[in-house]
Amino acid sequence: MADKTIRRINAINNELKELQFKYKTLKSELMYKTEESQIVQLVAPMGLKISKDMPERIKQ
Amino acid sequence: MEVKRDILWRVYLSYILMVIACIAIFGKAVYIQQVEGPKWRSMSDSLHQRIDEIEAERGTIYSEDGQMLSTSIPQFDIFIDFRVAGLREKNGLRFRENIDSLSFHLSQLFKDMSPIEYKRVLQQAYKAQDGYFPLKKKISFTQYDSLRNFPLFKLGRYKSGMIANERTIRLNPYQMLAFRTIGLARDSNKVGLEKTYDAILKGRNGKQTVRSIAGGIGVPVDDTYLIEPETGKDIVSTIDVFIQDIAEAALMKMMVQNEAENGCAIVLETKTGKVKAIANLGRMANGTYWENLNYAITPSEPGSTFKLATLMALLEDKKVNLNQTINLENGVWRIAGQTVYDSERHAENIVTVKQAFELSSNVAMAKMAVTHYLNNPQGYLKHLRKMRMDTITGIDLVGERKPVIHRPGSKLYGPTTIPWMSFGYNLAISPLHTAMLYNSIANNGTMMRPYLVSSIKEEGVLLKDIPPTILDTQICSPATLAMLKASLEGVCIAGTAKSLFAGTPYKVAGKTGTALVADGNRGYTNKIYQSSFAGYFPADNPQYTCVVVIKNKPFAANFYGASVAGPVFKEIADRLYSTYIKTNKTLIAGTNKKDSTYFKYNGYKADLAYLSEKLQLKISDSTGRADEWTSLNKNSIAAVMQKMPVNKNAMPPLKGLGLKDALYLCEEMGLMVQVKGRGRVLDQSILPGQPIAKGQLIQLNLN
Repeated sequence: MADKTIRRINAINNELKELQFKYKTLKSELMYKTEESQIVQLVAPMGLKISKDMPERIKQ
Repeated sequence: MEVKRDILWRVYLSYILMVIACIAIFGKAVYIQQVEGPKWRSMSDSLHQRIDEIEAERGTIYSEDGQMLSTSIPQFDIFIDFRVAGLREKNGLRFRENIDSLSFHLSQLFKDMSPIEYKRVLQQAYKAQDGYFPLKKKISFTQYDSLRNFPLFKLGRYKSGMIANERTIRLNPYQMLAFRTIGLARDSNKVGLEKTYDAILKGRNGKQTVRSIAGGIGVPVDDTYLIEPETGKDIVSTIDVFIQDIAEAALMKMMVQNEAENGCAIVLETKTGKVKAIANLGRMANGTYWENLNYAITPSEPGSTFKLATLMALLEDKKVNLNQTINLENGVWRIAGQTVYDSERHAENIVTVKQAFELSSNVAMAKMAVTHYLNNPQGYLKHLRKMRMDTITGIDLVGERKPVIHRPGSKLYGPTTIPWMSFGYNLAISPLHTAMLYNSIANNGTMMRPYLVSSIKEEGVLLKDIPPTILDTQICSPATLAMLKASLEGVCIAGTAKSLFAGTPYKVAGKTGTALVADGNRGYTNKIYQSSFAGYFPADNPQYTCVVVIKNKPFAANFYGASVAGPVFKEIADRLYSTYIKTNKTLIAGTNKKDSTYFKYNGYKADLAYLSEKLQLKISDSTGRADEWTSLNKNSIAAVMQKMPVNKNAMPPLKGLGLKDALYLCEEMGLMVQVKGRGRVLDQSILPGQPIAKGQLIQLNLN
């Protein structure tokens, strides 16, 4: 019984670690791609660029 | 005798046998010791227990807004052992069966070779019985994850021969962003925060007793550790990814455009001294830019931005006041056998001290320094000490170099030192020093130590909070402070940065700087200019202090502080102002927030009047006697009954009408009505005001 539990703990720990790695890899990819300067580069061919005008906040 | 000989013969025989036995035993012992020794000794070792070290996981560096700046992640090198029996049995049946699909998948994943090429390479290695064939190095966890589910590989190590060597690397998701400041966690020569906070990040390695089995593999003896490995703590940096990105992009744009050699941009939070962004770019051999050195903490000649320090000293000692006049000598002035030049000709020669500062006149600064401090250098140096210009800033970053200030008695101190130092030559301070000084002006005279790490966490739980450090509550008198602020604002209104900030909706205070810098042993002949801009914004309530320093290429066409470093500063300031500062101030008036007691109902006048009477609603009736259709509208004060305009040729607004009234209205106009739902009208397929024709179909959605 105890052996079984220990084995399960080990297996789940491993799974947890792998999921963490997966999360970190995907997250970092997403972070890099959503960085403002990256987006600016990506949309440049579409003719989009950062507006020079100051944004105006509309009061609700 | 017969008997005696018989006995002797037997004794000799026994004796010889004994001797032979002895020799045999001895020989065997020697054989075991010497010949078979290594084999048995290694076997004995393998049956023993040993203590293995378990590497602790390194902590993560987070940004202020909780993004990972540097974290540990495994990386894999993939090898194949083509000698494993599982692969070769039955004349390589398993290998032959899987090679095609495996090659296809490998090609799909790595996209570096065609399936045919992969197949050829693998077959070659199989034929050569390669025991350690390197398939692919440095693959990420996601790639490894799909790789191990490929045909053949999914059968496991003993059938496919796949060996994955794991290694932990540091991952910087934002790649170049603040790369040098976050640092490198390589084994030797770490830099940046990874080095400064190494002791906290690295954790403690654990120890575990393992029993060795064949192949040197350790099997844990029991599940307990002698010393449990301790994961490193996480640190939260003050760097804000958004600001850092803006600073780095703005700096990069100008550097590329100007083909500059290196540059840095620093953004400090005025009140705390937190380093919000620190971008360092240097030109690589191939013309691209990379964070290759922390220029922000490397001392160099500051140039005109240093005039602030000189002016502060003069004002503190009450040697000058801002309104007294000074002669700019046409921008050329000889002192101690050398000539001081102003970088631009001036329209007027007799100006006030404030104007001289705004126009960034070297001559004016040198003249004032010579008059008041040449015979009393300590009087000037005392102020620099008070401003902490002679010592490191103390930022939590290893590798900060000490500033260079020549004092009387030093070999490098001469009659030109004081005049040249007054406008930022003949001394070296880092851009971070400049930022710290300007920040203390922005922060009403309180000097904050710039810092990069605001807290230490473990698994998301705060362990230690690192508060801002005040270095000096008041670096100068309030009167001096007010005059310095006015002068810095003047630079952006009437001085060298006038055109740069024309039309900017917020006030900026700052100073341009253009310094001719020495290029190694070639001296000043290569005309390398360092352009800088230091300032803070908004000037009336400073939130951020920003310093931009760019070292241009030799003989650059565009080198003035206001036209190289200034635009970078402006771009950073504009973006920060619109994102962080403006939001809680100027608001464009819009509709008021809805109150749940407000209502608006449309309906037949008699019905609405009856209802409000029954409900005892106070209404003010503004309808005429002939009005049939009305709307009852309550907003802030009281409910008002108004005429609802009904035009026979245009669609009336039906929203809020009950079905009975809506049907009546529509059918009276000759519309065909389709109804969905029940209750009051929510929307109508023909919008109010649109012209209508008889027999037209209208759909009504009820709530």
